Amino acid sequence: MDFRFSEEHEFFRSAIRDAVDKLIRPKTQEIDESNEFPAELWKEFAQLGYLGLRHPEKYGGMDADVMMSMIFYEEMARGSCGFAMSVTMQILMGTYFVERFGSEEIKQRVLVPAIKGEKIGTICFTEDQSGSDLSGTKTTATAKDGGWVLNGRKQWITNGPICDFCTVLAQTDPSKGMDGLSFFLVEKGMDGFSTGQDLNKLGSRGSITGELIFDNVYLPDENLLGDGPGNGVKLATDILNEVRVMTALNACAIADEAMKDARQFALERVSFGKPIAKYQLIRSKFADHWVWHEASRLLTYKAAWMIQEGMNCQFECMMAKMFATEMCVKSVDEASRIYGGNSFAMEYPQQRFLRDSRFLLFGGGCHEVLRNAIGAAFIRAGKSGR
Amino acid sequence: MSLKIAVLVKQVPDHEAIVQIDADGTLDIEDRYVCSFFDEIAVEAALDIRKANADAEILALSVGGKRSVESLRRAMAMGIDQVEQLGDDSMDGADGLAVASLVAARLKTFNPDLVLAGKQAGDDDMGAVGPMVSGLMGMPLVNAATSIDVDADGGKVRMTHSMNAETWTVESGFPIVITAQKGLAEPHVPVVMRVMKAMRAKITNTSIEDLGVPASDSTGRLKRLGYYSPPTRPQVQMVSDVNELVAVLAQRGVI
Repeated sequence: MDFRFSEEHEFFRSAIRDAVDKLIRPKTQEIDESNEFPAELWKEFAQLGYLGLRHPEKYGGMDADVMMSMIFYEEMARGSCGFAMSVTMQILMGTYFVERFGSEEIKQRVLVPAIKGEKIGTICFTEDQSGSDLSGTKTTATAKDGGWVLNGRKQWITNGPICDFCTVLAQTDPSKGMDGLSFFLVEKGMDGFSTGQDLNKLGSRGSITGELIFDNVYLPDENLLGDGPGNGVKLATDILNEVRVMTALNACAIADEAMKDARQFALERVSFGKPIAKYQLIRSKFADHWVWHEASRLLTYKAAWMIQEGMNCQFECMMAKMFATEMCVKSVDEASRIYGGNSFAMEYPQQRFLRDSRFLLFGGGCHEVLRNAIGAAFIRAGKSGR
Repeated sequence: MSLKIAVLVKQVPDHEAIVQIDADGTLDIEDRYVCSFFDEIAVEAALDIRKANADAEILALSVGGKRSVESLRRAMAMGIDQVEQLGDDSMDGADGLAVASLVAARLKTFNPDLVLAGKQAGDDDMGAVGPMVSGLMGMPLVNAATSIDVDADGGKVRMTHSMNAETWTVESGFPIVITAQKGLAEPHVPVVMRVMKAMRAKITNTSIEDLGVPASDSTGRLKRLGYYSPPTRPQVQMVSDVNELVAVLAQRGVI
């Protein structure tokens, strides 16, 4: 057993860190305050090739392995949670099914420009009565004239209001419940496809999030992504594992940034004649964070490794997402207490960490639902959870 | 004229890395290293020269063990195709003359027209290797250059460098050693394709023996005895005018 990253992966991390430090971090505050999509930064990351990180070279991608993608997700969140969300939506969820199931024509029309940053993509799960519970999906796709007619509304869609294409989960056979769900590709300009309300979010600002509306959108049959209708949930599971680990790594990065910032503050802030870093109750906060953070990263990178090895890791990914994002909320809270009143001022970064950490709790499944699933699996199969 | 350029690079602790001095006087450095700031400028300057001289050949060199390989991968990611590690772990922490001896031995077979290096490393700030390579190779040296204008066909190079708040313009023939100052070039963020190519590249190593450097030259002559923190600066008291200053000095028995 070897817990070290390879030299190659360490080098890859240092290269991303450099890009994040030089390109994103100088704009972090501006992105957060303006809540506008950083189009120039998006172009820069596209030109550097990062938007094609995990896609095949023949479409302009880089063919990175799973672990490289994970390192990328973690480092990106050090820069800006919002921008990281937009980028990861593009390179992971937004283009995943297009690459896997799209026809060659669709790939040339959608995937290739997405890798170049010329088209923005997203995926649509959440509705007003469904999110963690996909069985509540009300958006329907009805077979008609050799194609499908899509009707419904999707909410909380990252990149949604600015997207050029989206992969939409819809019900093709309500009598089959979860086994009737399927993914469809919808493109900007199709009749009946429009955007609804943009959300003014508390955190993860700069990733434009909002509602998408599908009103009798006719789709050719090739826009059904997957081997026939009805396998949406099975396919969703494939990507949700990676989404959960990605979210966990975002959480690890944000917690670490918050605590490093708090460390510097604790070394400089003098109270009762000495730096507050000298007080045991302050030190205990750093100790707790270190333990939680280390445990989170171990759990998360183990789950990432299992994905890379093609192992069954649905519950490990749920655990990683749940544990790491809860850790992030706790660590950021403790960091803000070290900062004291200054953590409440918009002039300091702690308030941003507080807001961003809350955002990570919900994506990839709320923890009440994940706990229920993990607990049920434990009861069903014993300690392994499977 | 087809230019041959050598660039010297070194891996140093990241400026954000946590560095502590332990009780026994040894350094405890967080495992977070980067290519030295001025060396990256030298790499970028070499690439800039190649933009105007497409047939220019660039070789990046670094002395030491695993960390030297990291700095060479960085140079590759930025755009340099030929890189070479000189020596091994035994050279980590070696003094400037020992490092320069290995570099000079390799340069004697490479025969560069131009040697570019950072004006100083981001760790010890010695600023020794570039000038020492110049001495060992018998080449002229221009330190802390802020611009380089190469006339390959004319066999000359014009540089500006700053010294004592004055800027000088100098001209030289080849070969020459130039060290890079801030402003000479702006290191770019490498494209991910080159990052991955560099990540997977097998890095050539030339041993001290193969370089033919005797132990007397490859063994450092400087010995670090220990590290200590500078004394803490006394507390500053701000005064509002001369009268208060005089009063405070009198109160403290200074006057």
